[in-house]
Amino acid sequence: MDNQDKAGRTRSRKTVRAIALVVGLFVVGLSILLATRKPVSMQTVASPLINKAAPPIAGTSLDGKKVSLASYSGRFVLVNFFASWCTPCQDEEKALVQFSNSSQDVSILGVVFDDVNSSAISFLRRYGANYPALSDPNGQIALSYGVAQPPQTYLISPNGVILTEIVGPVNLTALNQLISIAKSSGF
Amino acid sequence: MTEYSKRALIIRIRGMKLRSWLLALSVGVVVVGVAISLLSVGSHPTPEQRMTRIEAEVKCPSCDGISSLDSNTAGAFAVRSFVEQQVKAGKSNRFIINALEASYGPTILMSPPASSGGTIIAALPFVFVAVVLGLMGFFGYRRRRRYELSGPDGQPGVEGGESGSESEAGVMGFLFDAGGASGYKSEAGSISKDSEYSESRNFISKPRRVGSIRQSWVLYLGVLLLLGGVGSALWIVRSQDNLQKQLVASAVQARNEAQTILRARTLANQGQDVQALQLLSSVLEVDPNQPVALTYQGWLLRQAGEKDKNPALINQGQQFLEKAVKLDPSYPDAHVFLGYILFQDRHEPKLASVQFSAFLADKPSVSFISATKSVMIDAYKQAGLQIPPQLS
Repeated sequence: MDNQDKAGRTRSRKTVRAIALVVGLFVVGLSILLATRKPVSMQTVASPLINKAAPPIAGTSLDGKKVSLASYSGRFVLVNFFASWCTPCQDEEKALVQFSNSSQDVSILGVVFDDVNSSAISFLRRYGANYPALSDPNGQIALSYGVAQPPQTYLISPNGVILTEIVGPVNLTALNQLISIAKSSGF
Repeated sequence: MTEYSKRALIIRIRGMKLRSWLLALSVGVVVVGVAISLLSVGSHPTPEQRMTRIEAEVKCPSCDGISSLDSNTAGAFAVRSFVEQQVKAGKSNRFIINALEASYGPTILMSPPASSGGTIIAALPFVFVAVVLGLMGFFGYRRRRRYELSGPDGQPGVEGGESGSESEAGVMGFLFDAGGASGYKSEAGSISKDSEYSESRNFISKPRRVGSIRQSWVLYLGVLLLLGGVGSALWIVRSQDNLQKQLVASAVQARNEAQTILRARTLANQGQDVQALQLLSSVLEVDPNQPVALTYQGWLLRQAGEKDKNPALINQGQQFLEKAVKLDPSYPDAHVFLGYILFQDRHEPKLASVQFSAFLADKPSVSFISATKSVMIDAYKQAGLQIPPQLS
């Protein structure tokens, strides 16, 4: 009788221990998972606009002319968001100007990001840029392209689809390679 | 049925009734709680409340973890402007948020939807609870079966004389099954295969005094915890809702002011000073101590005074800027504009340098420094002061 009692108690203790073990393993596992997981807010994702139709751009350029993205239909377009106060924009401007002068079938369209027009004009003049640039006073063009910080550049295909997004300064070699790849992909 | 069995049956029935009442009470509390929560969120928000709510849900695109509502960057203003346009156009909250997500992806949201990994993590506690409940059910079933198979036969465990094992068996018995306590005892008793069915008929009449008392206490405790939990959850929901309402009310005014000031600055940038001054005046009528509006009002008045060669306007502008500096000494724009007046209009390079130093101490943007750099350097030079490293 006593032996049976003891056996019962032992079994019960084993059950409690088994449950405690399951709980312990669960808590430890969950802690490890949460501790090693990258927060969603820090994960970088590609622009959701890639392979989608480019949001429309239309307005008056810094030199007072009417400009729209639609008027570039049939050509590759680089839409470049820039600001005169942004150091990486200064780093890339030379390459953009060279690319603009050397490339026959790619147009560049600048969009001013959080800058006063006069500063943007003198910035472009300083580097000898002759491509059009639009002011975006309420930031709505930047918002439609998902721009967080300049410089950000989008390559748009001749049929108006966003092919790629470049976050940060561009360089001449990368731009030439990009266009070659786009052309060889049938765009 | 013996007198003892009858008494045990009555106790058991009372216990069942009590449990039913407690269960009904718990369900009632949960239903009332859900109804209160639904009623509290069912009211129709005004367009301004909607804008504020959306802006609070959407991050400032150029910030890390700050909502568009709480940020004053150009990106946040762009989001606010977009939200305002869309709300005025009659678009739903979901449509507006989806449009922003279409450009930026889900990371534009303050609380991005859970990824597949997040869903798994969120589901884990439920899986865990289900596993534990399954285990409890399994062990309870096993114990009941054992209990049914064992006979009372006046076994000592049934009568409850051994306090040490009962204590454990009582709690475990409740966790695993209603008959657990005595089941544990019976398990220790002799199992007679021959009398299995006849004894199981007597199951209901088995005395379970000690187990029942312990079970009841654990049950009371469980119900108390449940009620406490529901109460706490309701309190949290209500207090958060009230907090949200307060935030919305105070933020609506701030948002309107910020939007108007932004419009005024845009107009001023485009050379439309008169319209900009009108907008800033409208802000100052509502809030005469708004430092940003005071600053730009002062600066525009000074600009107008310069153009028209009107010292009265310059004086007014200076007064506005001095008030802005007094109200918000950490606002760099007010310092630099006041510095300009003191240096260029009052020819007081030393006083101007004080303002420029305060401007630089407030960590203004690089673009702002570069735009004002030459004037500041002249002021420091004329004051005979060392040029700060930010300007060199």
